Amino acid sequence: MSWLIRLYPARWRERYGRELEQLVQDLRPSRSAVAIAFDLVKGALRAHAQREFDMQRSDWTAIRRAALIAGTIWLGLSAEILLSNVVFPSRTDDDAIPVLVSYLCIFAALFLTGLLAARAGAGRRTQVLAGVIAGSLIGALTVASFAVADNVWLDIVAQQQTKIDGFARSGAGSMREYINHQLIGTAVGLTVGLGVFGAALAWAGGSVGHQPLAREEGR
Amino acid sequence: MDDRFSEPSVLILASLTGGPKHGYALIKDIEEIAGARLGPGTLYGALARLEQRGLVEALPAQDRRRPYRITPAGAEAVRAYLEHVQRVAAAGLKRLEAYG
Repeated sequence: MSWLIRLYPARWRERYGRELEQLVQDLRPSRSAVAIAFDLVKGALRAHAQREFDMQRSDWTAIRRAALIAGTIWLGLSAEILLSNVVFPSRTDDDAIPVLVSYLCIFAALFLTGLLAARAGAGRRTQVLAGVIAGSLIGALTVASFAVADNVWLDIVAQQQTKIDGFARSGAGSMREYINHQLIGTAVGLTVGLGVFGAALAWAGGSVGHQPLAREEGR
Repeated sequence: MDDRFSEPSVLILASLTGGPKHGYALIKDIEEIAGARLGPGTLYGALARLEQRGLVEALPAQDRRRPYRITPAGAEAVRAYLEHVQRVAAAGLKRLEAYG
């Protein structure tokens, strides 16, 4: 009779299996084997359904957190873009340190995305997916911020020496056309690139945040 | 209506208000107070969900039998549920009297 307990999810069995086995032994003299067997099978099916439901819930939590992290990073980057390009514009190409700090923040956020996904109980695939979503969102939204800043404050942005040089070499009809053409390429590159980095860093973060007891086996 | 509890969960919580019990003692107590014969799979399925929601907690195992006790949140939840059921029952009985 106790072999039916093997029908339960492994993690569930690990926690309750011994107690349930004892209870079946205690009940066996006064209950029919068929009734107990039927009840155990029904309970096992329900435990599997519950496990699926819990997984879906933790997966959605991980995705929501990824979107929240991406949004937060995007707001920070957008502020930095406006400050360095519009509010305090520089004609020289001296933004190496802000760019480096920005990338470090993005990478840390992508690592955190995987770590939090693991802590939420999400499986490996969802951890990586959360990283891809966070990275791609950060990339796409950041380019959108550049597009707004460059087009709305074109007269300020067009003073940057790198843009003047690039425009001169491009053969474009106007500075706006040149900038927007550049942005399209950047949008694709940054979205795909950060998506790939997101997958790798979230996977690494998930390895750090993985809690063996927080998840059912096989994920 | 508060439908957070399936019947086995309510029966378990109601039983545990009388003190901590392990699985077999719970089944026997529920049979006595409610006349319901819960199966082992049904009992442990409900216990697992109640524990996950913080409404019951496990005590140290005695051999292979582990007692469970109701938490303050569990007591509050079952009290609210039973009071609601009581109000519905009272209203229903009153209307039945008028019905004849």
